[in-house]
Amino acid sequence: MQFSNPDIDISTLPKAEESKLLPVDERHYTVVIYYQAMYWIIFFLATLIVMILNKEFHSWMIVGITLLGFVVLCFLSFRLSFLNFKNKAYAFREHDILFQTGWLKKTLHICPYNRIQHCSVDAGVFERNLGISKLNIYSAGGNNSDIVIPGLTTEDANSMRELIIRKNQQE
Amino acid sequence: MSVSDWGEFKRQPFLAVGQIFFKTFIQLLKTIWPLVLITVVRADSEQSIPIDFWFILIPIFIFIKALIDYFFFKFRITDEEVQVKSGIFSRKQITLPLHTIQTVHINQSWIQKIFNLSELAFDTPGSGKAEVTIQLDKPQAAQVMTFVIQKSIVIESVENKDKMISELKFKDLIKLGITSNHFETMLILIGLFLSFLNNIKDIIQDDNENLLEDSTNKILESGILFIATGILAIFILSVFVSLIRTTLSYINFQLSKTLKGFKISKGLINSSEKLIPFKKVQFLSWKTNWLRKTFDMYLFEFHTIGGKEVQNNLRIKVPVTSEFILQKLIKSYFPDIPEQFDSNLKVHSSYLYRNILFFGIIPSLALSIPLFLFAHEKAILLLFIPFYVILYFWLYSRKYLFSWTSNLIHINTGVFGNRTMVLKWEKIQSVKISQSLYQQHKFLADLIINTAGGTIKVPYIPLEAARELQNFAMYKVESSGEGWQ
Repeated sequence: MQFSNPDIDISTLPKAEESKLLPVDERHYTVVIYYQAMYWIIFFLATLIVMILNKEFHSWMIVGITLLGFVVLCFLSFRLSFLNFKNKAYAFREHDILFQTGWLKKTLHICPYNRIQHCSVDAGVFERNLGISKLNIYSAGGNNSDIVIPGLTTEDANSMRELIIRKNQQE
Repeated sequence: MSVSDWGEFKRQPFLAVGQIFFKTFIQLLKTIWPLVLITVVRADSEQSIPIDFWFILIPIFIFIKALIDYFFFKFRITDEEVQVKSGIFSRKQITLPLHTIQTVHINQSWIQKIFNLSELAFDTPGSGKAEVTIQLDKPQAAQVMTFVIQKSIVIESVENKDKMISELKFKDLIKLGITSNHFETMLILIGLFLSFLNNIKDIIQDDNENLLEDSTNKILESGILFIATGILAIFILSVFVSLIRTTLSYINFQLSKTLKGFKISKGLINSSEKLIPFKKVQFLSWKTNWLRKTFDMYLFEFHTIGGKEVQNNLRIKVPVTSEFILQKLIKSYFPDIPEQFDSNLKVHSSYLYRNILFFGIIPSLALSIPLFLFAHEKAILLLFIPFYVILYFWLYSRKYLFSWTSNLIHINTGVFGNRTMVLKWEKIQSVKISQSLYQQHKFLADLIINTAGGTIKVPYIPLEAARELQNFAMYKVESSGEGWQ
């Protein structure tokens, strides 16, 4: 594919796809597991209560089918979370931030420093206990355009925030 | 305008009390009118408090509120900022730095016309709606608008001369009315009618509880001719209402180019004046359909900075009545737009097949088979859904054309009409490449371009092209000194 403008040689432009992306911290997956487990336990208990209270469900076949369905869904959900986690990676280049995410829908998001409005670091209960944080990067492009990098050590997240602010002022 | 006139905190003109009174009164009436109607209709029954009492008490209450609002609302405009103080119990102070102000509008509703006032509205990025509004005399409002605009954008000191781009004549208004969206008007009319029925149901429920059901049954029992006549009557009424709606909102419409941006003024009953600074425009789009195309008409839109709510509330749409004016308007923002583009991309053919499968064939089979087996044989009609879906996505993929030069992006799209978008590379906020499993397998990708005026999606293009465009976009945004606002 050729661009019409002869002044710029497209092949010499820095290629985002060749950047070395850093994976997010393993502890992020532990947090994901905690949230998933909580969700499935609540869902399991709710189903159990409904089945105990409703006499129509008091048959081994229905209990078996429900349990099987439950195990399959649970497995798929954990597997998908794992694949999503494996695909989460980021890179800080001289002029922009790269963030890759997703397995079913894989995305590579690039946001230049000179378009960032503000950024913040936050951590939930599980994340605080494990010593990791999330870095939220906001631009003026709306929700679609924001980047959230999870699984960073709190020190890394804070120094990245400082870096972004410094770069943002320079550009 | 000298700054000293506005540097001290001052109140709005005293007539603003009347405006606040009427505004609050109408707002209250809109909320409680069914209650008022019930009270009037059932006036004969015994009541602990006589109606007359309410009719005196409510206006007094509103008048006191208007006086309080007036006395506790103070504003000042300095070289750096607009400041507003309001409220009696919870004191509120808003400070708008002049350089953050995106657009300034002068609006005049019919109530304001009675009191010879204009409303000056400022909006800034990130706010849900116009953040600060101040009532002023019309000349004063115009003065403040000029002052604020001068302070909010650095401009060269050149003689300020407005250049008229377009104005609508009576003939244009008729054209616009005829080609407007009658279906939308029809839905609004039906909605209004239903909400009216719903509101009066409480009042007349004693003896006419099943009014709606009865009339529906009667209509269903009557002949096809009767129904056809009814539909025709509703359609004619919709066209008529559309004509009136368009005329009222676009009468006196003028669009001109000033040194600082585009100026739009319009309206008879509720008149408004908007100024859109060039820098705040993120991208342009215009659309037409076959009917409008026949009349040589386009609907042009400035996509400015702001969230969805801002864009809906203060949307800047411009009816354009000829190809010549359209070209003039585009050239005034993009002087170097080429007639033809060398670099073009179309959506991949698999976009059509996959959408037909996922939005047409699968849903229609999933719906029609169980319905056919368990409910009614007419469910088989659902199998016609895919034909509409085929037509829709066939037209979409045929019309979609993504073109670019080193300065701008140009997108042609549309289904039953045509829509064109033009964007400068520098206005991009971030770029995303997104791939589903299928796209990963076929080396295809969606390119998602985020701007402060909205998101543009380029579906199903070759991965290699998407990557090159992403890299090029980053190069343009990072190397260009030109900002996005």
